[in-house]
Amino acid sequence: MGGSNQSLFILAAIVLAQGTAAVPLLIVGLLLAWMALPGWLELVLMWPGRVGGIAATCAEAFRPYSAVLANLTGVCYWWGWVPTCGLTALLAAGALHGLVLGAVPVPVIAIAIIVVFVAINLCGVQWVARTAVPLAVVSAGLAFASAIIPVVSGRTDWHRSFDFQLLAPYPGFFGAFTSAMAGLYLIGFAAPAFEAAACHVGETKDPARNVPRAMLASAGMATLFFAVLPIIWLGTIGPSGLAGDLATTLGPTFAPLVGAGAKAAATMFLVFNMLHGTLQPLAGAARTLSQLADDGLLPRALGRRLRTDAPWVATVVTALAAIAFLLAGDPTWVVAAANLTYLIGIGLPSVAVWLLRKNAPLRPRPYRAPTWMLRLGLVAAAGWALATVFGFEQYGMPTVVFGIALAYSGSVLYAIRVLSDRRRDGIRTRVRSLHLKLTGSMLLVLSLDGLGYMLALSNMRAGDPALVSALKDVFVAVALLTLTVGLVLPGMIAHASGEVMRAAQRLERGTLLDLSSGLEALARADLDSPRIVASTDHVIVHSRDEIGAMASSFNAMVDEASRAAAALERAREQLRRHTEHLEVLVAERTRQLERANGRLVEAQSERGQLLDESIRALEEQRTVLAADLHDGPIQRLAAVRLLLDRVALAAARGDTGDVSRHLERSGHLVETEIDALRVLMSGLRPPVLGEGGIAAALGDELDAFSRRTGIAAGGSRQSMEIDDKVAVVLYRIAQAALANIERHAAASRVEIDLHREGDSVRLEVRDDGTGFDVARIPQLVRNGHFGIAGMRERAQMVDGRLDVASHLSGGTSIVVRIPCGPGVAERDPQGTGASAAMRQPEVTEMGEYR
Amino acid sequence: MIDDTGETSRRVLIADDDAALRNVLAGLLEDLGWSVVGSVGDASTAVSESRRLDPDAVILDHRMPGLSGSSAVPLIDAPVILLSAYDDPSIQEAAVASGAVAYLVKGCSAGEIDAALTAALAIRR
Repeated sequence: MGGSNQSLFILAAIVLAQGTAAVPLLIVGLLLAWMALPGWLELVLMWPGRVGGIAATCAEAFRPYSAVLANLTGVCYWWGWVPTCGLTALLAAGALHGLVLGAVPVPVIAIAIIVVFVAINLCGVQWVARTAVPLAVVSAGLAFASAIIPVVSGRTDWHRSFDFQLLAPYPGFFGAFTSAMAGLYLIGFAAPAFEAAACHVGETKDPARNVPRAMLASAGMATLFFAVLPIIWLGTIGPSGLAGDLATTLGPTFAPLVGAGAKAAATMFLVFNMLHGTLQPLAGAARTLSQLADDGLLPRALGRRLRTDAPWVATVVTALAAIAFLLAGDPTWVVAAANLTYLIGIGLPSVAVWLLRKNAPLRPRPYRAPTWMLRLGLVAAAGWALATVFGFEQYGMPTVVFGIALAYSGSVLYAIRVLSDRRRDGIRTRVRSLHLKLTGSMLLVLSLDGLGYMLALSNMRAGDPALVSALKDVFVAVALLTLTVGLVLPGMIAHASGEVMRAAQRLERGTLLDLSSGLEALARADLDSPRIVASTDHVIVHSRDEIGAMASSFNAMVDEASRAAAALERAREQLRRHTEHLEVLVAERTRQLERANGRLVEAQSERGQLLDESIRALEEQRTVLAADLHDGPIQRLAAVRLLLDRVALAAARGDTGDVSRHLERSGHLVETEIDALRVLMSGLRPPVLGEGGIAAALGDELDAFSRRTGIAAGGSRQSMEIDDKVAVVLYRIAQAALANIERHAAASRVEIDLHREGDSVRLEVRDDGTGFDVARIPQLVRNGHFGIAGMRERAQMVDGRLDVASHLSGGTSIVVRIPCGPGVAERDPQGTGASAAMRQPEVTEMGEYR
Repeated sequence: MIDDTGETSRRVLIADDDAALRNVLAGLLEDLGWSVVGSVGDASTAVSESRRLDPDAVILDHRMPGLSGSSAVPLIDAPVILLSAYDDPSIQEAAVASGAVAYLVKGCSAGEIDAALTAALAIRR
C-alpha cells in the first residue's frame, strides 16, 4: 500500500513557483528519498511487530533517549499526512464533479470519499489492501499509458522535456537558491512518500521479505511518477500544462490512443491517483497515532481498536482533521506548514537508525544496510533540513509559525497522557519540573523572537528582498532550534535525569537495602534470609555531557554496589557451605561421641559389675580367711593354751611324764599351725613374687597348675625387675587365665611367655583348647563371667592393654602389654621354651578384643 | 546333783567340731576333776547325748557345722557353757539370752573353765 503518486497534486504548485526547474528538483527530492530508503528499511524491520511506519519505529528507537523526542517524531509524521488526505479527496472530488457528479458540491463528494475510506479502514487492514491494490494498479496503468503513448506517438518534444528554467522571487544567486530550496522543501513532502509502505509492518506476513518488496515497488513507482512522467509530460504538454489542472491538461498524453476518451482517461488517472492518496493517511498514518498511544506517548484513547484491529479513534481523528483542512480549502500554505512536520518525521528516522548502530550494535537486524548508505540517509536528512531552513519561509511567516505549532502539538498530547497516567497511578504531578521550565522558556523565546521578526519584517517591506529572505531563514532556523532546545533537549535531560533518579531509587530501595539487610543478617548469623538481588540495571544515557558523566559515575556506583552485593552473597554462600560442613562434622562427631559414650557406659557398667564382683570376691575371700582363722589357728592356739594349762596342772601334781607329753603335744600343734598359716600366707601372696621375681612366680604357678591339672606346660619367661604392682598384675592375670583354661578350655597344653618388648613388658598365656568367639565377651560379662573383663581391668590399672585372640577349636591367646619404662634388668632366662608343635592362635576374623 | 556314792556329781558333756581341741579340753577337765561323760563333734548330737546322758553341765562350741551351739542351748536341760572363738559382746549377749550360763572365749585359762563349770553346777543344784 501507500505510494507517492498521490503527491502529483503538488507538481502544479511547484511548477508555478519554481518554473520547469521543478522537474530536476523532483528528481533531486526523489534521490534524497532513495538515499534514506535502506536506513528506513533497517529501522522498521528491527521492530517487526509494530505498525505506524518509520516514524513509529523511530519513536521506539528514541524512547530510551527521550519520550518527547519519540512523541515528536510520530506526531509530526502524522501531521504531515493529514493535509494530503483532505487535499487528495478534494482533487478527486473536483475531477469527479467535473466528469460525472456535477450536481454534487465538491466538498460533499470529498467528505463522502473520506467517510467511505474510513468505513473501509474500520473493516480491517485486509479491506484496505483490497481497495488500495486496484486503485494503485489502475493508477499505475494509466500512468504508464500516459508516459508511453506520447513517446510512441512521437508527441513528445524531447528538447522541451529538458528545458529547465528556475523562477526566483528576486534576482541574484540567493534568490535562485532560495527558490530551489523552497521547491525542494515542498518536494520533500511528495517524493519520499513511498515510506508509507512501511506503515503495516506488524500486519504484514513475513515482513522481512514483504516489506522491503513493498517499499522497493513503491519507490519504483515514485521514480516513474517523479522522474519519468514529469520529463515526458514537460515535453508533451509543456510548462503551462504542468502548471494547470492535470485532469484536463494530461488529456493529450492519452489522446493518440483513446481519442475522444482522452479527457476521461486523464480525469480517471487523477481520480485513482488521488483516491490512493486519501486512503493512505487513514490506514497508515492513523496507525502511527495508535502505536504511539500503545507506547504511552499519546492519550490512551487513540489506541482504541475495533474487533477488526482497526484503530478506530486514530482513524476518525485523522479523518476529522483531514475534513477540517478540506473545508479550509487545503491551501498550499497549509500543505507547506504540514510539510515541516513531515520532514521532521522522515528525517529523524535516518538519525535514529544511525544512533542505534552506535548504541545498540548487537540488536537483531533482519536487514542490515551498508554503513555508507546510513551516512547517505544522514545526508538526505541534512538536505531536508537545509531545504527547510532556506525554503520554508517562502510560504510566508504565518505558515512557519503554524508549522512550528503543529510540531509542538504532539508534546501537548504527550503531556495529557503523562498527566492522565500520573492521575491513574496516584502520583502527584510535579509542576516545577525541569522539562516544563525549559520548554516554557523556549516557547517564550520563540514567541518573543517571532514577534521581533514580525515587527522587523513589517518595517522592511521596501527593503532588500534577499535580506528579508535571509532574516526569515534565520527565524526558521531559530524556530527549529527552539524545537530542539525547548522540546528535545529538555526531554533528553529530563529523561536522563529521570533514568538516574529511578536507578538511584532502585539502588536505594533495592541493592543498598538488600546489602544492608544482608550485612545485618550476616551480623546475626542468619544465613537463611532472602538472597541479595543486586540490580545491575544501568542508566542508559548516551549523551557525552555532564549528564552522561553523571550516568557513567552512577553506573560505576551501581557496578560497585552490585559487586559488593555479589561478594556479600558469595561470602554468605561460603559461610553457609562452611556451616553446613561444620554441621555435618558436628553430627559426625556427635555420633562418634555417642558411640564412644555408649562404649564408656558399657565399660562403666562392666566396671561396676566387676567392682561388685570384686567386692563380693573380697568379702568371700575375707569370709574364707576368717573361717580359716577360726577353724585353724584359733582352735590350735586355744588347744595349745589349754595344753599349757594341763602342763601347769601336771607340774603342780609333779607328774613330769604328763608335763613332757603335754609339751610335746603343744609343740606338735604349734608346728602344725605354723604350716597351716604359711599355706594361708602363700595363698594371699606368693613369696616367690617378691623374692624370685615375676618370671619365677609364673614358673611356679605354671608348674603347680600342670601338676594339679595334668595339662602340659611350657613357654619362655625372661627374668626381669619390674615394679611390684606390675608384677602382681601380671601374676594375677596369669592366674586368672590359667583358671579359665582349667575351667573352660579343655586344653592339652598351656604356655606362658614373659618378655621385654621395648618399654613394655609382654605376657602371653596361650592354650590349644576349644577357643571361643571373642565377640561374645561383652555378653559373657553381662552374664556374670568376669574372667577376661577382670584381666583387662587389672591391665588398665597399670596403663596396660590386654588383647584376646581366639578361634573356635584353635586355642586362645591372651596378651598383656604393660608399659614399665626402660631399666628392666634381665636375669637369667627361665622356662622350658615354647613348644614348636603348639601353634600361635591368630587374631580371628571376629577381631581383637582389648 | 549327788550321785550314788554320795559325792557331788561333776559330769560334763563336751561338743566341739575341732577334735584336737575337744580332746585337749576333755583331758584338761579330767585333770581338773570333772568327769567327761561325752565328747561329740556337733550340736545335734550334743542335744541328743545330753538327753541320754543327763550331764551336770554341757560345754558347747558356739560355731559348729549344722546346728550352732547357741541354737542348741534351749534344747538342752543341763546348764550350758558356750565356748567360742569370738569375743564380740553382741554374740555374748545373744548367748546369755539363749539361756547359756556362761560364755567363754577360746584361749581362756583352765581356771576360767573350771569356775564356769562350778557355777553351772551350782545353778543345776
